Amino acid sequence: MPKANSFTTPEGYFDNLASRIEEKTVAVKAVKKLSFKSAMVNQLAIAAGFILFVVISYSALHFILGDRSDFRESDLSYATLIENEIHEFETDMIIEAINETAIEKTEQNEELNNEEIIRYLIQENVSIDLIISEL
Amino acid sequence: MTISEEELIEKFVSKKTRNEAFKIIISNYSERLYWHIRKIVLSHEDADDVLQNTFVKAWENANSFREESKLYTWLYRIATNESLSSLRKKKNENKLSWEQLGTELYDKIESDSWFNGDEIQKRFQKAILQLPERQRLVFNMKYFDELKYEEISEILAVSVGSLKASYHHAVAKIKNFLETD
Repeated sequence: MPKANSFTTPEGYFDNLASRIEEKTVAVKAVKKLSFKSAMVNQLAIAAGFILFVVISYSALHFILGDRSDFRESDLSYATLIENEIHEFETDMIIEAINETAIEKTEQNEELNNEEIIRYLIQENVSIDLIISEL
Repeated sequence: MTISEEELIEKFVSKKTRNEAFKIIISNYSERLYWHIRKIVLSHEDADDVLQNTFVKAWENANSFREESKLYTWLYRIATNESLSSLRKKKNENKLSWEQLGTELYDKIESDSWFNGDEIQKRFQKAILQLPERQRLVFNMKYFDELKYEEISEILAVSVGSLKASYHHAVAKIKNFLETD
C-alpha cells in the first residue's frame, strides 16, 4: 500500500507556522484577559446594582413603614389612654355615682307624688290649711 | 541551542519559564502534529485551524500537564481530541452520519489543490475513510505516524490489546475494500 505522503501544504507554510501560532496564542491570552476583566466589571456592576436596589428598597420600606409605625404608635397611645382612663375610675366612685343618680330620681318621684296627693286632696274638698299642716 | 525533553518539561512546568519553553515546543512539534491532524481532517485549512487550537489548548491546560508524561504524547492527545471535535462539529452541523462525512471528506480530497496523490492513493484514502472512528485513528497513528502501540495506548487511553485488534480489523477492511472497489 502507498505510504508516501500525498498531502501537501502551501509553499513556505512551515517557515512561519511557529510565529503564527505564537501570535494566535498571545491574541487568545489577551482576549481571555480582556473577557475576564469585562466579566469582572459586569459582575461588579450587577453587584453594585443589587446593592443600590437593596438600599432604595430599604429606604422606601423604611419611609412607608416609618409613617405606618407612627400611626400604630398613635393607635397604641389612644388605646393606652382609654385603658388608663377606665382604670382611673375606682369601683367606689362608680357605685357612688350610680347611687346619686338613684337618689335624684327618687326625690323627683317624691315631689311628683306630693303634687298629685295635694291635687287629689283639693279635689276631695280637704281644706288647704289642713293639707299644709300635714306636709 | 538544543534542549533535552526533561529540561523542556521542567521549563514548561515552571510559570516563570513557560513562555520560553512554549516557543520551543511549538517549534519542535508543530510540523509533526500538523501531519497527524491533516491525516484525520484531510483538508489543509481545517488542519491549520485545528493545529492552532491544539497549541492554544496546550497553553490553557499547561497547569494540568504532569511531569511524568511525555510532551509529545500529551500534545498528540490534545491534537487528536481537537481533530475529532472538528469532524464531529462538521458532522453535526450538516446532520451527517459518519459514513456520509467520510464521503464528503473524500469528495474534498478529489478537488483539493493540496493533495497530489494518484488514483491508487485516492482509493487508499477512500478505503481509510470508510473505517469507524477508532480504527481510522489507530490505523493512521500506526501506519503513517509509525507510533508504537504503547504510545498510541497512552494517547488514546485504550489498552494495547484493544489497539492491536482495532489495527488488525482496519487492515482487513482496507484490503477488502481495495480488492472489491
